Amino acid sequence: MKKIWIYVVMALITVMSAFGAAAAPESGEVVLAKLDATMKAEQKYMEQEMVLVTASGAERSRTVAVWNKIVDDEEMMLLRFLGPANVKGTGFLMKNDDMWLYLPALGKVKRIAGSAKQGSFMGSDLSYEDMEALGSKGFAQTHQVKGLHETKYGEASVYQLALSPQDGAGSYSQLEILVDQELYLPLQIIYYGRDGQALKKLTTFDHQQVDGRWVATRMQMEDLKKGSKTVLKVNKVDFKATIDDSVFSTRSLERGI
Amino acid sequence: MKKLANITTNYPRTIIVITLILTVFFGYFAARVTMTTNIKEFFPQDDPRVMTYDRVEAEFGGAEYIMLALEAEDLFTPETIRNIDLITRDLEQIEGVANVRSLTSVDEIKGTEWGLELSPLVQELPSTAAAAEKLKKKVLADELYGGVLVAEDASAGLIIVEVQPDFDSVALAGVIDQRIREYSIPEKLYLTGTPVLNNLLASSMQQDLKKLFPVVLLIIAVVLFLHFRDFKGVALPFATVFISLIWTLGLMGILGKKLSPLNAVMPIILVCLGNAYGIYLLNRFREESSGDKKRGAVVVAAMIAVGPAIIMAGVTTVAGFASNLFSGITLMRDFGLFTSYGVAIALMVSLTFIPAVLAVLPSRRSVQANKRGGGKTLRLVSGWVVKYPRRIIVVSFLLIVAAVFGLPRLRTDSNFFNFFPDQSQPKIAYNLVKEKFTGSESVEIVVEGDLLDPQLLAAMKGFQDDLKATGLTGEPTSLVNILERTNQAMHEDNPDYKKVPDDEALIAQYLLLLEMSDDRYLSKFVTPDYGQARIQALVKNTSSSGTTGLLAAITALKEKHFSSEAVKVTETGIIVLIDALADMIIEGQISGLIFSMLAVLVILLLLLHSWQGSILSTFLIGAVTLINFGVMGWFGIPLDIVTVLISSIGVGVGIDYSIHIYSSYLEGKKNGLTAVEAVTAAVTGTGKSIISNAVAVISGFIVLVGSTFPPFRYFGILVSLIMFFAATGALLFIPAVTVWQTSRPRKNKKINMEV
Repeated sequence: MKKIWIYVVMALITVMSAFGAAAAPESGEVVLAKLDATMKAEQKYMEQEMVLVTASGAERSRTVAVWNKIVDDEEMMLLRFLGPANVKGTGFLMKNDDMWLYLPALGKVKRIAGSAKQGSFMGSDLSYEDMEALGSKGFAQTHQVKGLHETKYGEASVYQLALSPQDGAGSYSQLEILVDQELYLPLQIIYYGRDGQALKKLTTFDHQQVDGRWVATRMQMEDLKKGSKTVLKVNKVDFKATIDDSVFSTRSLERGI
Repeated sequence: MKKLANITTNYPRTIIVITLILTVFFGYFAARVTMTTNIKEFFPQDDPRVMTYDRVEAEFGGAEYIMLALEAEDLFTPETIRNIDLITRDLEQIEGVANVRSLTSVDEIKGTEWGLELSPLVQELPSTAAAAEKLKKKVLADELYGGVLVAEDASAGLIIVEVQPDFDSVALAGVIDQRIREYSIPEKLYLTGTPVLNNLLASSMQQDLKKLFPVVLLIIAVVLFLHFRDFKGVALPFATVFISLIWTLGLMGILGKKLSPLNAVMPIILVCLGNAYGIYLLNRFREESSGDKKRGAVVVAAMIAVGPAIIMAGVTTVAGFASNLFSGITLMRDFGLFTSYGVAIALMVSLTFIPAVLAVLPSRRSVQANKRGGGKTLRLVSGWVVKYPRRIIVVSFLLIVAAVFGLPRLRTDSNFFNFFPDQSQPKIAYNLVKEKFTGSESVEIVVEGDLLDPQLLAAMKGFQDDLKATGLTGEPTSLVNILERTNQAMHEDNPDYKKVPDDEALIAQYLLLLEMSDDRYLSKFVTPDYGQARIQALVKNTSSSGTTGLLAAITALKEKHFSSEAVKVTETGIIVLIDALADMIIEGQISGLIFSMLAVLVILLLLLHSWQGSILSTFLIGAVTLINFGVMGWFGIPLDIVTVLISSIGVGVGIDYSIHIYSSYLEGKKNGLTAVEAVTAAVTGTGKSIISNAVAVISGFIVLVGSTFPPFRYFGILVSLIMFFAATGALLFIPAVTVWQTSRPRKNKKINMEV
């Protein structure tokens, strides 16, 4: 008889603890805020390799050094090509909504029309919009939470976060992000187009701790329609570097930092 | 044959029920068969030419275009430009459209005081006549737009719709056709381009066949009724035809095959040919049923008497159609497969279903209708044959010689454009675009190599300039033009810099700049790994000879400019596929003819047991085929994807007449007749069936002359002609040669005098 009581109590505890866990879930907004907090950095220096793989398997690789800083809520970026040799030294500056390019072979700085920002970044499968969201801007500023589930992604426990752009801005109708419950890094993002079809898929790998922050050192963006993909490998990242505002000027673009 | 005859008479109801059940089953799938005019479906999927084409589509976006020409007195008025813009924006919204290029949507590379701008050529629609005039000057002076998007005399503008690579371009053409009918604008609109023509071709071909098919049925019904003078004589051969048609379409449905311009004539072929077997059987059934024999016994007797001849005729026809299996053209193989299957079904149904029905149907007085008429003519014919065998032979050879001289004039045409009469709407649109613009179809030349290499770019430049100089294409465009304009833009729009820089680093940096500005712009010209670039040129003359000339010029220029081994240059495009189709038509025709002749010879040897008869019959059908090609040569009828089928029909069907004549002759000889007597008996006896069969077949096919499509018309005329020559050859040439042969002096010269 006693045994039965023990079982009943154990069962009750199990049920109650399950309810307890469900009773205090993290809200979607909280998950999103934590996700942004892991991804965003006031300033960082990064060396990255970008490999473009076409649908037919042809590859092209470029390595770049990138300086990022948020000044007055606006992202600034200076990018310098390290390779291949024929574009080495080419520089790119993005400040507010203006963009400039320095071509060493021409010895000149030229401006790029702002409309370019709607297109893809350097012929990759990432758009400027994707880059900004993943880089420093985060998602919370421009998106609202539409849904949150807990699920599994491989071994990891994840939040499945559905976001939709505020005021219908941007080129997507919805994003579906799988957020690691421990690291608060995105493991996968699926971008849906206006017609509701999945357009692109971002997957992150090789999560490492750098300067006390978790970073995905390899990301892959697949264009589900074209079949092409872009792989971003972080070779070096430094969150502690002090980057002066003057770095983000056409002068340093031309002369070097 | 006896076994089969017994089965059909012993279990007639079972056979009828099984046939009907199978017909319902196939009928279900037959209803699913649709029509295609997609040129890619003519090729096997692993054909290298299709693979090249698909690769270009995959790497650079669509290579199929729907062209909308807009005609106005002067295009450069604010209203017309606004209409172009409205249409452009509207078409962009349609599903399946990759992009729309027009005066108001095309981008230009512009140098400004602060940098480079990739921006629309028309940034703001001109609101005044002066602004429109200014735009006119600028556009017409630029070789990338003048003559390409706007006619040189500014009387027409072109809106080019690029189809998404995996989208059904023919269906999209239908949607766009519907959409533009809703526009109410003063300018005249013309729609053209391969998908549009294919769409029209599919729909008007279907309409045409819907219109002609009942006429064919009616005419054949009349011919059958005149022959048999009762309902059964019409109904049973018709049932055979419908059953075989349903089974064939059903098999196509099960296998997921589509009807094409090529096998669209298949129903008519089956209707015209499929009823013959039933006719022979019914004829004999009537002849046998004159006595007091039981129905079952009559059926058995009729089958034993004519069964072997029917099988022989059927098998040679199947072999004739099967010769198309040798073609490299997928749809032609399908045609061969399904038509020979359909004929085989008609043969089977004639030998099972018809006897079964005959065994079940209540008996009636038989009317010996076919005994009347024709006798006089045939006696006259046999008289000539016996009297003037040599004249007949000489005339025959003269005809053959005349045909041989027509052969060099024979040309192929695989271009669907020529399927439309000159005054038809699609042809008018096509000619308008051809006249006012540089062309409506493109040739795509893929250059594989290191595209940052200034030397390769210089070679491309040389190639493009030479290609333009041939006058065969409009301005070729490629990465070269983009780099030239970028270089100029980066040097304050100084025209001296409108050239590709000689510095690989600068080229790489320009490309980076363009990618940063708008990557989609570049993706139409070069792959992201800079490994492949495409040169695109609109083609003026898309006829077979025009394309052949262009491709020859391209081959020569390739050798001149791209001698390096590291560079691979391949041309493709719809017109290249069309040109390849022409080669495949010829190759398939030659091997198919050799096969069918050999097959027929073997079948004849097996069945006739006579070398002379087999060779003579095969020779006759070869001669008839030759005359067919000779007529096509002399009258300028091209060998296209429809007329190419004629010779296989000619061989398979035309041979039947020779078989009947010769086996009848052999039968006479066996019964102790002299050669002359046997020939006379054959001509006057079997001759009747031959004439009525030929009349039935010809009157069926001749209906195609009422088609709106020239190839169908030619098809009808030529098949009729082939049947006519095969029948007259069987009635005159074969008997004449036989008479002449047996009367030739061998040992005793006197025999000659007797004749």
